[in-house]
Amino acid sequence: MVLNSQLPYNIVQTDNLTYMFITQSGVVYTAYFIDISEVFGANSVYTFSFEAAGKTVKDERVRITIIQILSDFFQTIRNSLIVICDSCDSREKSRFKLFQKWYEATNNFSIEKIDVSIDSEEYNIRSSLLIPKTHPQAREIKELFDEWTKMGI
Amino acid sequence: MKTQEKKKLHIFQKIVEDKRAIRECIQTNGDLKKLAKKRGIKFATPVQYCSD
Repeated sequence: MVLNSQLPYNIVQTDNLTYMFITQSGVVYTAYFIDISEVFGANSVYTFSFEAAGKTVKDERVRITIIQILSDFFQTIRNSLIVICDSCDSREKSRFKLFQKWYEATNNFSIEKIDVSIDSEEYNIRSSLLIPKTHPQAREIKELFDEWTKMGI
Repeated sequence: MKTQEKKKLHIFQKIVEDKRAIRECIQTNGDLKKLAKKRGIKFATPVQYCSD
């Protein structure tokens, strides 16, 4: 039997722009993907993040819901994801940890994760490329990601 | 070519700046469509769920 507390929240699409879900405590979360394929230089490359409007409370179902969205995203093996966390915001650090946990918790070894750090005077960025191992352009995308990283900011 | 090089140099910076703008917009209940147009952000919905 699956308890409610183990289920993701109901996710809805809003105006073909973002996804939204509302927690039991009434916090509205917006999750979104940005298509960065053109600038990155390869097809179906996205970045992902989520934001809460209002004061948040610890809620395991938020993690489960985010995992659900990302798991659904990787049902398409041609999708790849670049997660970028700007460490000037402590909540971004938490999000990066969340993504780390998600990756570990899923035990999904079909998704490769490559972590990098990019530091400059203005930015301390932690980034991960998440890509299915069976992605037809995996090698090219990993090379491009490496190039971007070496270029710095 | 020069523009392309400039873009490449700033891809991570652009993403971070866009995320900051999106965060502010969401937290102030702003208009994401307007923000996307203004900053050239390409929101995408690669996963299908029911619309609101």
